[in-house]
Amino acid sequence: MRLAFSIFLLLGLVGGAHAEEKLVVASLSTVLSDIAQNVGGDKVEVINIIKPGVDPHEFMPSASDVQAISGAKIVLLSGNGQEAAYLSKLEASVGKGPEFLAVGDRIKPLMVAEDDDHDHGHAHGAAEGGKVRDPHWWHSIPNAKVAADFIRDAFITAAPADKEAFTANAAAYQKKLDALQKWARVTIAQLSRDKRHLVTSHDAFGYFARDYGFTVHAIEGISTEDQPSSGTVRKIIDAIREEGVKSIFLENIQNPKVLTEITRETGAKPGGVLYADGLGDKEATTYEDMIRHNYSTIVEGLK
Amino acid sequence: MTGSPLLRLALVLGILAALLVPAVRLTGREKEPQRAAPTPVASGAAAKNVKLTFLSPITPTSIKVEADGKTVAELKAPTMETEVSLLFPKQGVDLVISAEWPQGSTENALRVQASTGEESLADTTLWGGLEVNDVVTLSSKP
Repeated sequence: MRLAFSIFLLLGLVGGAHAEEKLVVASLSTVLSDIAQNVGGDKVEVINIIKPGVDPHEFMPSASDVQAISGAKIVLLSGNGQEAAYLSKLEASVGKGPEFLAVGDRIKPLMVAEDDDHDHGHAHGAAEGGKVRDPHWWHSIPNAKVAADFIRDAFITAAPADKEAFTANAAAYQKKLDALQKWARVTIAQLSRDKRHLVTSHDAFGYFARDYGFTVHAIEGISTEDQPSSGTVRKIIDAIREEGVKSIFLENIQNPKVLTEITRETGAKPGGVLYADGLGDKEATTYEDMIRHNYSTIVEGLK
Repeated sequence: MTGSPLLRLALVLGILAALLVPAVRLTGREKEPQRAAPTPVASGAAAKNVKLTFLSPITPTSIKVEADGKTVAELKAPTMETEVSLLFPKQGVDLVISAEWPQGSTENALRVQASTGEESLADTTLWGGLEVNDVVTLSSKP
């Protein structure tokens, strides 16, 4: 009797442990962390390797990051060359355990000219015919929808027993993104099309500009490590004057003298902070919140 | 030396004070010249009279049309047509269309047609439940 009870108890514990086992996902993008959590729900454990508020252009994985990634089944990468500086070393360090998925590589990219008009502090992703892929795909809601579907499929492949949950979660999240897209259209429509000139710290809003008919004038290039040349700054000043741009939008601009020069020469005022390279740690802490914050800030600043 | 020490002190302080004024002027920052906020440059936008026609299997109880954040038309059933004057930059115009339907209808469609006398600017259908709130972009051939 005692033996039978012990066997049943042991089977129950083992079964319970399996039921609790979550798919471990490491993420090198705060946006992907949020999407993965929405699609995975309580069936996944998402590990943020790049934390909110950290600049991914300057990130290098530490030993503890490598250890955390080693324990994951899936590693989500932003892709499009964003992780080029360290990816091959990271993969070699981690070994054959996790599967690395470059989500952005599944999305039709915007190709931008390799800008020679600024100083490079590093190499961009691989150039293709003199152009590079703009890595900031998340600023287009349709791209986020593609990412969510790709992540759903990757989760189902890795944990087929939870297919139903992943499918239901992804469908619910797609509805949220559809509603967000409609909100975005109506919000942006408040701004006349001839006022849609966006002056930003670095060139991160190309996908947004494409979707809503904006022209972006970026002080730095597609990476925050790029340094603006005096020629670029002069072009920005001329564009602001010519188009009557009221506000410029900043992140953590590395060169405050450039900002001072631009605002002094043009009278344009700082329009607010935009979250360009990922989620914030105090506000814009989800993808949806980031989009709402950015789009509202842009429209209010330029009206 | 004869003379009141206090008087001598006052003299020295007076000389120092007199020297202070030019010193402050030489070392102080110049006030930044006030730059006027950028004046909106004429975007080349011309006013156009645009005819808006709405079609729906069930007549909405109301339709509102906004451009650049301002209401340009409000229609009550059974009116389904109006004409508005819009400033039309070369980049086009986004209209926000909001419509409501009577209780009892579930899914609704609203076809929006926009035209001037000479050209069609938009012909699109918006979908919703008891309400629709979405954007129609008008674009003109160059």
